[in-house]
Amino acid sequence: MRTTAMGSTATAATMPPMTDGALHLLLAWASPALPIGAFGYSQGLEAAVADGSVRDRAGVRAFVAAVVMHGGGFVDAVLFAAAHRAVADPARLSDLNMLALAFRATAETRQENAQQGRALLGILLAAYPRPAIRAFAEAQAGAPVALAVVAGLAAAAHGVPLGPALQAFLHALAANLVSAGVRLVPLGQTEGQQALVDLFPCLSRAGARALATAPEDLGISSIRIEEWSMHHETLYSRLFRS
Amino acid sequence: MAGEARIGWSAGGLQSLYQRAPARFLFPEPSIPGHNEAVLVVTSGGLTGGDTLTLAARVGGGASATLVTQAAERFYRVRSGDPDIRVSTRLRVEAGASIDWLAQEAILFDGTRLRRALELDLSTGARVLAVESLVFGRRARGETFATGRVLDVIRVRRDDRLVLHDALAIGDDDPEAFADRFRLDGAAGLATLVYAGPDAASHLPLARALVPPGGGGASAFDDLLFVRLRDADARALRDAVTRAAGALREAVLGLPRDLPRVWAC
Repeated sequence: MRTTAMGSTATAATMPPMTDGALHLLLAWASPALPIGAFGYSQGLEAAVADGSVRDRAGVRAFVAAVVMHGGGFVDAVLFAAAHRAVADPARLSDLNMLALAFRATAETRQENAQQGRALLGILLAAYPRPAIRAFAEAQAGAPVALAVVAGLAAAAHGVPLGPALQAFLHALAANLVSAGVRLVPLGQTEGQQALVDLFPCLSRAGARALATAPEDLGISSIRIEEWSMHHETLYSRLFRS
Repeated sequence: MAGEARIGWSAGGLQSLYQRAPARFLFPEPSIPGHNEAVLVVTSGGLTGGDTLTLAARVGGGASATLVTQAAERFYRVRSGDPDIRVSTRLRVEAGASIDWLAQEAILFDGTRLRRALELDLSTGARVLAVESLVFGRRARGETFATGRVLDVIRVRRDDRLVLHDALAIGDDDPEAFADRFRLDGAAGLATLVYAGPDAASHLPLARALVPPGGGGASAFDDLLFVRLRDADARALRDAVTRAAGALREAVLGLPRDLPRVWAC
């Protein structure tokens, strides 16, 4: 089973070959060293651990799977893809940005989205500039920007193909949540890696479904995850900002 | 069928009215001086493939209004090949005006396909309390919503800026959603309450207190109060919705805690 978990042969066959440059961009953007503050957010996982709902590696894996397949992660995947496709359409990018910011029903996930979006845009302007990125930043003029839209736009502006770019985006999201789980449950570092590997098929499926989902057909069913995000606001002791 | 109903209120009371069967309004005896109230009735008894229901209300001139549906709405199986059922509700509220929209539950029968949208178009300073819920089949009668799909959207725009896009997508060959403890966790239904108003954040402690333990949550952002309720029992969910809607309309709109009489039965 490990080979199917690691590979995505179905999409690999249809993907254009990636240049070394594109691969380096994805590795840099998906790295936990990208300073957008992702490590400070758990999307409600901290509250799920606090009330005993998540207490082991399987629980972390299932929580992250629900986020990526049916929650905010899937929403972001669809909007990432839409932004990638809209790189030459500033009005559409603006609409997608507004939609992505509005597509969060809790205070902390909204803050998480906008803070990371702002941080990523700043890094892109300074270290990975492209005219389309600058134009988007100028159009938003300091107003909040959504992480998924900025990230999708950046990949397109640098000519990184959508399929691999989306997988890298989902990978970073999942790896960040697993890392939060490692600290919260806690799990051993190796167990964390095992949880992450177990998620690879989910990321592949979520990406494929996201590519086939129009923003107007998009919705969530991760109701409990949303509740934990709300409950997190009143947790007595918190390591994470969401 | 294509039901449609439009209503408008202004400082002088009812300003405009349009209704097309099977949708129509009833006007109960006014119980609160200066406050407007209408009951939306859909006489068809339920909706199925290709049916549409379009409702629009406008409140201006500092008026306040309550709009309530007379009964739970039933959404029946949609035959394959037939279009999805579409339900659209649009509430436009001007600064200084207010409305509470108290929709009774939408009961989803097995095999239904529903696209429902509630659009709140607000000016800064407008206030809206909106309540909607979904029930996944009549479980007390051994019925479930096991196949089909619902896309249930609530959108809030303030001065043409989209501030909330809440979309639930449930079903669609995804039966695991109902038992998944990270998703619906056995819920018989879900309810969503949104209050939009400049004082929304100040009511967050009340909203949190109205959520039964382990059955939902509340948050506040961008001059919105957002409450989700969930219960494994449809009757208990309805009780929680009734209690939360009553307490919130009293706190945020100064209206009686008791919901209009049609909610009682």
